[in-house]
Amino acid sequence: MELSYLIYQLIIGLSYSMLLFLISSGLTIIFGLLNIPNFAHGTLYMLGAYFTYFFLHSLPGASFVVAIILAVIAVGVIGAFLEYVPLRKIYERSHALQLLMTFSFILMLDDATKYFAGTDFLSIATPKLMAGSFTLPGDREMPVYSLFIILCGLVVAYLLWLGLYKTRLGKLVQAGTANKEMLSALGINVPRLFTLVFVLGAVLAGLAGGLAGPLKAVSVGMGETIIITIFAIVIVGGVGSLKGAFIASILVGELNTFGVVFFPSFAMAFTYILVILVLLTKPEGLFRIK
Amino acid sequence: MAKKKITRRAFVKVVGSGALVAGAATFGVPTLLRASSKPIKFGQLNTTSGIMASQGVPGMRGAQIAQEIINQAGGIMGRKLELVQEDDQVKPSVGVRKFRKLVLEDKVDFVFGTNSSGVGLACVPLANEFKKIFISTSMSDKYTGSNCSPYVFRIGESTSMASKASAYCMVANEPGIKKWAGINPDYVFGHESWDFFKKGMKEKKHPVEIVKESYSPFGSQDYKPYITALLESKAEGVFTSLWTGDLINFIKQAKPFGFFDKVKAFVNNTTSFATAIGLGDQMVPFWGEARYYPFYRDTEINRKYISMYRKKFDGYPGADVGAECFATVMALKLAIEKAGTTDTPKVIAALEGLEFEVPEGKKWIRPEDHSGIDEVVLLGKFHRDSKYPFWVYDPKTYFTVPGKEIAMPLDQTGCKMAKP
Repeated sequence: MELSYLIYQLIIGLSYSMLLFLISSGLTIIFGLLNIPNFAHGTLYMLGAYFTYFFLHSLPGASFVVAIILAVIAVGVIGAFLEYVPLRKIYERSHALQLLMTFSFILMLDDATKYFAGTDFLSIATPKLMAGSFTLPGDREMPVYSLFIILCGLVVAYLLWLGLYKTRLGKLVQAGTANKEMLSALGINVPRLFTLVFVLGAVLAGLAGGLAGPLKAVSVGMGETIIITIFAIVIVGGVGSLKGAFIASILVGELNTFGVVFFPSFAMAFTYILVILVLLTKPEGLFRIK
Repeated sequence: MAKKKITRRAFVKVVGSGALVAGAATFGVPTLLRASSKPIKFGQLNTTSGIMASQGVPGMRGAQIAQEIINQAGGIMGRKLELVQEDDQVKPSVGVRKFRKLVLEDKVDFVFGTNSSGVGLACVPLANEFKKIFISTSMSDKYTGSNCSPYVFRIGESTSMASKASAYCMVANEPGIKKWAGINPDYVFGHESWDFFKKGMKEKKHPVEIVKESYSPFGSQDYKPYITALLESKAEGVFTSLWTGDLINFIKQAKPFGFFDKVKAFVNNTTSFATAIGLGDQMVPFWGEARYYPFYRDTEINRKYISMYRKKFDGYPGADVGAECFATVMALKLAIEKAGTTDTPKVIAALEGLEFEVPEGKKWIRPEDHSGIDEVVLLGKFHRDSKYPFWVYDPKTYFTVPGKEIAMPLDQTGCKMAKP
């Protein structure tokens, strides 16, 4: 197999990786700081797609970018509500209970979506500017939108890195992930920090949902189909680690892509083989937050 | 003139006996009547949650429309039809649990439904165990083949019919294409579909070179590697049995790769029309098959079905499973009336050989294997039509195969029917 084909597949795989990173980055930060396995994170991703569709079709002349921004705000507000009202009450309870509550969010949000938007598939068009592709040697096409997703992923990764390592707030989040008690002992308003981080995670999920719109059928349940992969990424990367989520997203995206190219009948298994290997050798994930 | 005095005693006698008669009227005689006017219960399993809700919900709706028509016309033999509808979550384990619930708790008389053969085939042993009629609305040939049983029916098109018709259509319309590839969901339906497509090509003695065979997991997120691999294989024609959400995702992701320009023919054997509605103006011109296509037949029952669906649910009956569930309820009704009872063995006998007309056309249930056989299997090539907000088949491209011609010959089904 020629090298150019492998590089081509590598870039194609990267566009999937970056979409995975947009979703998993939010989940890992929430899981790390709030210590809540938020199963409804995929559902927030779904809401991002629905709101993007809604704003795109209900506001006359709204562009794709405007629709996504509005959708992200809407998902952020829902995220704030979920954290502020129900989740806040169960931080000290067991993971099993937390899992159950976030699972109930899935059911409620899915049903609410069905009520307002129906069960039919909705389809978001690729913005005209990005609908085309570059033709590469060997008569291969590289869709502009795939490159755009990669760009979005890299920009978000950079901004999150800046925010987490270069701002006071980011340092608080890091400190809180490592030791919550110490943070509140120092007089930091931990509950407010939690709300902020949960909203940030929701916003990232919403953004990913909007960006996935042109690639997917927008439908109820699209969150459940991706959440297991996202949890696998968070576990492999190390709970709470942004760098871990980034690397693990790339690993999973590329494993999936090259799995399909070389061993199509086992492609699904590679992600989970990776999870098993990491759990056996580095149970805390590749990049553990100490 | 002596007035006839009504004494208190006489009054009590008269009124009392009247009350007695009236009492008998309310408590005695109608008890018998009430026993036979108890509703007839049909239990239905389809997927109404998660990503396949877009297929299960129309299935429920199709059955509800049939129920409304039947009950407005006085029910079945004077008894009301009651539907008990359950979500199988497109999971075999849930389907099996709900099947038990329908039979044991709801005490339904008959069970039908399922969107995925994975779920439906898991229910077959229960139908045999409970001795209940189960009519599948999913497509596997196994219902009427290796898994066939006196209690099990599949009255819609089967996987083999839809896939072989797709092959016949391609041989007729794209005879120049030799290099074929497949992208199919990685479970029983996808594997069967691809095998029958190749078999159909062979039956027409069409020289085929298979350049790529790929199977993607059900509900895949990322089709791009499959798409690039198909393009790399230089296939001229691509067959797919991906359905609804998966097919929409595949098409949306394939379009920017110039897939539908580079591949000369793309043909799909299931749920094509629901895909066209889902994609709206982002649809692409491909050949599709669907068990039910609303605009092919201008019959009274079809017009009624479409108008009732649009009025009740504000949308077109795009998902073919809706018409399939409608047909199933109607078939059961006719069979019960023909048998004159809801007694299972008698209704089985009445279903065998039943001929009836539903929105998708005339159907006949082959007695030997309980396979429904349609008048014709229909394909068409999608094009834009300004009359509708979605793409429809170009009527010039309608391609039909008579159901009796494409049905699996009885000696090939592998069905050994036991006595009920």
